Amino acid sequence: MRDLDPDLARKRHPAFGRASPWVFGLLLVLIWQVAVPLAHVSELTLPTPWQIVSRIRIDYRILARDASVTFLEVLLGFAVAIAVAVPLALAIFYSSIMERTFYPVLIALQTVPKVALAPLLVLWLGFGFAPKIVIGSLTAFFPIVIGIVVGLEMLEDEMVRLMKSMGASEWQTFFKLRLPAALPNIFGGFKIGIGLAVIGSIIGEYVASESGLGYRQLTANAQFDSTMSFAALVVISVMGVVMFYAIHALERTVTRLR
Amino acid sequence: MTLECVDMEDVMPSAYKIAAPTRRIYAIACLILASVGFCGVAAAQTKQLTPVSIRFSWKLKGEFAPLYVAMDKGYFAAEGIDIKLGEGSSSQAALGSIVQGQDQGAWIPGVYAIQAISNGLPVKVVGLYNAAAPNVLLSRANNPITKPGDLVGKTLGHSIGDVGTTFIGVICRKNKIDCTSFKKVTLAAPARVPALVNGQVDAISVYTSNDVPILEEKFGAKAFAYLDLPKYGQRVMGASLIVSDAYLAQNPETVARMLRAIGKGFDDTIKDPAAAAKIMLKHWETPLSLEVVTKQVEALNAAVETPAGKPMGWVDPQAVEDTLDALQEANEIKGRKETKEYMDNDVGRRAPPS
Repeated sequence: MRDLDPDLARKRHPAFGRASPWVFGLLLVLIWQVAVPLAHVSELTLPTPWQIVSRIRIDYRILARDASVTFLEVLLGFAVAIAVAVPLALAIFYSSIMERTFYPVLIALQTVPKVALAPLLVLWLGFGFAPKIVIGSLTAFFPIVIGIVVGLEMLEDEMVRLMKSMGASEWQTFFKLRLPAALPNIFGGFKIGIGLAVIGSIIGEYVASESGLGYRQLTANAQFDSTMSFAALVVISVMGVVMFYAIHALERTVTRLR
Repeated sequence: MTLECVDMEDVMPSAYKIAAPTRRIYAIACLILASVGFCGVAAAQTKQLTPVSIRFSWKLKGEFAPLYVAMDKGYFAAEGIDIKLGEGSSSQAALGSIVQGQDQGAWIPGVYAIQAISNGLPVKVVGLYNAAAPNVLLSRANNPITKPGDLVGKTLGHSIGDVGTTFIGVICRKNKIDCTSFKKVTLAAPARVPALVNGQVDAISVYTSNDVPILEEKFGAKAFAYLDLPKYGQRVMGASLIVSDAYLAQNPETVARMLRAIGKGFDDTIKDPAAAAKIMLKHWETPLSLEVVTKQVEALNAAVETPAGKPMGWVDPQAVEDTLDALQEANEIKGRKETKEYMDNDVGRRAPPS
């Protein structure tokens, strides 16, 4: 009987394992490229991948400039989310009163659609960077808090008692035991958070912006330019993927060092 | 011969010796003083210009050309205004921005200001340039809707904020057709044109000063048919300048200067729409051609109505009344105030009509 190893195929055919997502993606793109003209779908309704790529090539300067604006918003929103989430998560972990106080509020805040909050934030903060950063951080910070709290809680009590029996202080226990053990969950929260920060920043740009990829998409829609709208979407996706894998690379570096 | 480094301290008379750190401090102090002096001069020169920012209802379009003409030709500066024009994300956001004091003027379809004032927002219409918003019902040429009676049995695509379809009741009443004889489906704004092109709806409402020239360039002038809504009685206020009550009370002279500058911008835009379109494109990163933007500007010009003997931008009380009628008919407002509470034509000291 074969061992039930889910990674068996990948281990036997490592090249296939690495190539399969690319092959699948390419297949989807090819189907899209062929199906659109076959079905006589207009460019206004659904441009082909080739039209989108050509448009990116022609307008790469505009898209690059918009991408840099959105990137900055995402980065700042994510940084603010971490800055708020870390102390909050530690407070929740170390104090049951804080946990009982903050958790319901966090959950309530998480369930409020940020699309509904965005116009109010624009009213209070104006049309500049601030509302985009706030929306990005509001969208990102919940999974980061949860990731940290769950990661810290996962440690077995025996390990903590062992540290304490050897005379370790809480500080030492935290940095030498709790934090390293929690890293996978923390980075899991970061990875979810970065994607949500991208979404939050784009929502902010939809509501109030004069630059950025969300702005570019809105203006393209207003001018019935579906190809540019899709081009902006592609760049948003690429940005999200790059940022996700940047966090992944950081995770691998940090976990190797611990 | 050898050169020897000489310490300046040895050769300078002690009375004139200044320690190196002290020399550095003096040099920095002189630099700061020079900078302050320069800034002071610059500030004195720019002190005369009052900073004013006007927030648009939406992203850039040809409808905003007169303001860019006024900016480009220095009409605002001549009136002592340092103007900043900003794209917006909705009429409501623009109104909120002036009430919050983030911007000083909002350039939006006046109907939204009238609605907001009816709901208690402390703003006023101080300039009206399109007494009837230039909306049309757009339909496919092979299924044309060119008069109100053609609507019977059809499906109208409507989006939140669409002026033409929101106030379709006015068309029904004034042309004696039954509004229940056609369907109205709500779509997201970006989905309206694809829905029309794909036959999912029979008509949508668009602006001649924005959408029509773009669509005609994409699909050809013969691809569509039009029902002129103002012609059949739908007269709701279009392009307008709105200011907050607080700003108007504290800065009436600035508002008057804004209006004069915009009036001059409109005069030039009406005289030469192609030149206005060129100026617009200098400030607008868009793939739209000069021809399309010129057509947008021409459509804006065609909708400009200034009663005889009145200055450009004068707010016609009848336009306010017509808009209030439409808003009440569409259940967009609960009650209405006196006409004078919606507008201010007395922010006078306007330039006399030319």
